[in-house]
Amino acid sequence: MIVDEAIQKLNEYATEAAAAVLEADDERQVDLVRQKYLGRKSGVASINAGMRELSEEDRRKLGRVLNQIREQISSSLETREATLRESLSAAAAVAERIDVTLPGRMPQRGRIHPLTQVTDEIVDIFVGLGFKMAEGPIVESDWNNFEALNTPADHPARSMHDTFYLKTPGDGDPPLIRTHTSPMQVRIMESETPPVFYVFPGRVARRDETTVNNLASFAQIEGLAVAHGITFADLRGTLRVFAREMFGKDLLVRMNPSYFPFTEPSAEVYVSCFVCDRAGCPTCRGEGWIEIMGAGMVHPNVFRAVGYDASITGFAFGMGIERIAKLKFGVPAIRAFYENDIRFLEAF
Amino acid sequence: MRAPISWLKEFVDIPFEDAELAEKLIAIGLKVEKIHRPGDQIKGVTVAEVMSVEPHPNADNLVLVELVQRNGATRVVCGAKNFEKGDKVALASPGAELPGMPRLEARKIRGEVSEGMLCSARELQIGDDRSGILVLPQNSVIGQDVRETLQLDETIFEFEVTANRPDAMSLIGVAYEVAAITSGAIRLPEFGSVSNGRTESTVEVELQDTERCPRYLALEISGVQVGPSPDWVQARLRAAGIRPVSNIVDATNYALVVTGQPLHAFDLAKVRGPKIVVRRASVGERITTIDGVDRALDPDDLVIADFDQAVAIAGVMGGLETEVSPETTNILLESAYFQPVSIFRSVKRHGLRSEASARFERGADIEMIPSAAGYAARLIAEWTVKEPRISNPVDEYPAPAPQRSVSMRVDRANAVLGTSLSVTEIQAALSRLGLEPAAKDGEVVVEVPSRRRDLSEEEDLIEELARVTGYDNIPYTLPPARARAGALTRDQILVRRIRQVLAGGGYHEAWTSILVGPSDIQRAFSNERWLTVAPEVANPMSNEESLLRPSLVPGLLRSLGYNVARRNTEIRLFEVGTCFETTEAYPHERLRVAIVAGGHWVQQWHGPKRAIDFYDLKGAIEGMLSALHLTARFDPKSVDPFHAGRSASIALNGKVIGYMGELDRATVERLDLPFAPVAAELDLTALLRIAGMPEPPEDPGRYPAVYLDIAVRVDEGVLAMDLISTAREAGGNLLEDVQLFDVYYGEQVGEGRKGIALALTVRSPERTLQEEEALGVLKQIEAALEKSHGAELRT
Repeated sequence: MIVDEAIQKLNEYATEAAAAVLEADDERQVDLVRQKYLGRKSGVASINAGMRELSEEDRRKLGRVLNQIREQISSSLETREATLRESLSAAAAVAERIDVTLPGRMPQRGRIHPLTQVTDEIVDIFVGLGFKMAEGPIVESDWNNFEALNTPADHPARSMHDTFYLKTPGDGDPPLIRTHTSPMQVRIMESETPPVFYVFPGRVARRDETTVNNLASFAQIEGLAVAHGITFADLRGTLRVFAREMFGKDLLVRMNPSYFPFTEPSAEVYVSCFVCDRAGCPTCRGEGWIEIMGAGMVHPNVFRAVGYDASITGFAFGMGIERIAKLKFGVPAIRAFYENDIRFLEAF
Repeated sequence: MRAPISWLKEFVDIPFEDAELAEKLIAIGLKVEKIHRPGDQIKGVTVAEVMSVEPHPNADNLVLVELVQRNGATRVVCGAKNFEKGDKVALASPGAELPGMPRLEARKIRGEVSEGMLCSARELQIGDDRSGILVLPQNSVIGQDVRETLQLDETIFEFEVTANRPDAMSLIGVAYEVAAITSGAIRLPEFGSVSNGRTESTVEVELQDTERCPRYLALEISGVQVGPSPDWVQARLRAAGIRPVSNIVDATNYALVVTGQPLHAFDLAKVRGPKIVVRRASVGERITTIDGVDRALDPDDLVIADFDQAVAIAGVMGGLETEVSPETTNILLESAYFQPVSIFRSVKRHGLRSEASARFERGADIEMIPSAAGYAARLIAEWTVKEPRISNPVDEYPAPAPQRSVSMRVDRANAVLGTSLSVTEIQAALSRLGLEPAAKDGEVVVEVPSRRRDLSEEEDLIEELARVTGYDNIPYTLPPARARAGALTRDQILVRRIRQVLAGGGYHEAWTSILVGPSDIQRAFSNERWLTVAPEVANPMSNEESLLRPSLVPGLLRSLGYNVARRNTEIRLFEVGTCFETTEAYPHERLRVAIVAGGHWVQQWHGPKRAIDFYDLKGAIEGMLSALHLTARFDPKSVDPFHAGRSASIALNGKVIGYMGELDRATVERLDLPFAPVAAELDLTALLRIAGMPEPPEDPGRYPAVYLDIAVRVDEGVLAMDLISTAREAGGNLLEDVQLFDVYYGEQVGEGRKGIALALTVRSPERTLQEEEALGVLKQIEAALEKSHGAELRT
């Protein structure tokens, strides 16, 4: 019987193919096996081609076996292929292994100076409270630095601000290096009408003995809020928001009376020590409180000097950037900020 | 201002512990700077009685002293002999602690054991006397701690008094503040009368400058015997920070501490006339002050003069010649008012501060003058052995100060403070300060007492109200929201971006001083121009800080040197900051950005160790500019302080805005550096003005590009920039980009020549290019390079 012979042959092919598949070592060999047993010139193909001459019944019988054998071979080929792929990646995992613990190719990264970081942080808090920022000249007139700020010549408060003056060829009041950022209050109010809400960061200088914590050239940031209806209570609230954003959500803010010629009432602003929470530690020098700035209600004489209606109200405040940064980062001496030791800068 | 608390308690009741008192005084506006307890430094010193004094067997100048102390007899070796059997003395036993001395131990002195030592007044810090040991009062109790016997357990508050509070420079003034806290009453001392003197004064007083000295009171006290003041007085003065001098001077200082009115005692015998003239110093006049310094007086100085010359700088310091001495028998006591400005100027001019000037400078209480004089006179009478005669005063006060009143609108006070205090509440608050506020038409009116001459306008009363109310009893509110946006300007944002880009590229931001010295500039630059450009400080503290920086580079090079000295080997710094340039009047101020770098990049495992060089710096600058949408042109340019062949100008839109380069050898030597750093400085003010906006391409090119390379050989001197711009021009519209990707030298290119390789991107925005078209562009470029630069094609 031709059909039976054919079936027997197919079974032989299947057996042969199964052995050949297992011997195939790579994808190319698997392809050759596929060609040999399932390709156009394969025994399976020629039996398939011969089916046309068979009776309907034989064709159906042989066809069933043929399909079965074909599926069997192709499935074993696929299995073999999958096995080969797996072992290939397993081999690669060993052969192509790298040391993932070697340091990465890190680009060298520099740092923004801590005093800039602190300035930006302060500015951003006040920007969030509706303030703008402005910067002004470091060399100033006597008017802007003192006179318009209710500090006339021979005012005792001038001795708190020992001043550097510049040599000039001309007569008249010599230019001076501003002793605080407060002259920006005068400049802004002389050029803008209320309401004004501003912070002014910048360099200043005082003619003082230099120590590790007291440098002739340093930086301050000043704030000014002038509008009808501004109160001392608003100053308190604003500075408390600032202090808590800057140093910690839960700390306490205390204000003590102080004296500045250009504000009245004037205050020194303290925060509860964020290191020891008022238990007393080296950061707060055992006092539990840390002074962070001076503040007060703008003196009407300042409003008069800049041509504002003296019935308006406003508050002003000012703080030393180095001092805030020293506190914030726990830096032992302010001089470190100006030495620019790379190892110091890299810490920020 | 130092206030011994036990002394303060004479004038006001204090129902608080020291710490609580300090806190309350701070809250009301008297800043307690420090709390001193001098007795804390003395431990283990007790009262002992001398039983016998025998000569030391081995030393003529020493004695052996047998004593009875708390727990029996003991023996010490002593160098002083000013005591005898039965005297009570201060014995420091082994283990005792004294200020500034090591802990005491028993030891042998010249072969004899000494169980401790006997203390002098100086060792206990209650006097300067070190000639002998301190003999205690007979009624002292054996075994008692001397801190108790001598009342050394004193607490002293040291106040930092602000310039506006002359009243707080006295114990009475502090007492008023305490009373404001406790709502208590003040006990003024018995001042003593100055109007019932037994003799008429022989002194004539002439005020030549009544503006600067509106009142001068002189009192003659005759028949005094100068000597030490009582121990308790000396102890009090010392606690108040004042050195005891003599009964006379101590009395004036005692009255000063209590009343705040400075007084001065002259030796009347040395005051010629006797006449007192208060006048300006004459030209060329000199005085030797009590501190022994000979000073040239300025015609602006107010002086106290006698018949023919200055005997004191008014309100600042007395003259040596008329100083009270042990021989003095008659004195002239001065109690006067001097205008603050006058004192302020003299203090500044002579660099001379005193207890007196600190008070006059803030403004003393003109009505306190007679009381303070009477007080001091009474104390002198009490503290001298002989009963002196006190004259009637000569009180020159031609124009008595009028009584002033200040008013405060209740509405205004509440508007400033953010409170809603009633008239009654305000009156009650101000009353606690010893003021007597009256209410009238929505205003509170205060008759200003002479001791509070700082109260002159409405704001002063608002501040008084605020501090008595307690700042911390005023609420926390925020300014009403308005149609205003807090925001940074474009320039402020760009400056921040510049910092971020440079830091991201490996450069650390530095801050250097705005003050530099000529040597910083001379080390950084060889050109003297920089020195003349820098604005000069007229009154520098030191040469090192005598100029405003004309450039950021000197400061950054100093920081670089500091890092080199600290053995840092990888230094990349930049700074953004203001620089100054002298003009006729105010200096020009420009914002600049500078970079200074040197040493090596940190060596990593995947690459060689590499020095930081010109191209690192140039890349950093290009990166910074690209963040501002700018492309600069770098032209070779020899600029101080750079290597002539390794420096460039940096131009934007044809305008030079900065320079960069490697420092030349001479500069590197001047700075004593182990390598040649690179540096750049750009005018940031100009840069911000030009800074561009982002320009996204309309169509980023849908069609594929053709990528072609060109390799040419040219003379070494041909600039890369020129090759690239020739290529760009020759490439026409289809040439999208040219990148230089290789530079090489060597035998195959020949002596004096270099090889350059360019990568071209050729693309049409309209269609896919044929290879021939792209090659056409390449050929044009090759031809142009050959023609313009003598380029030779490499095959």
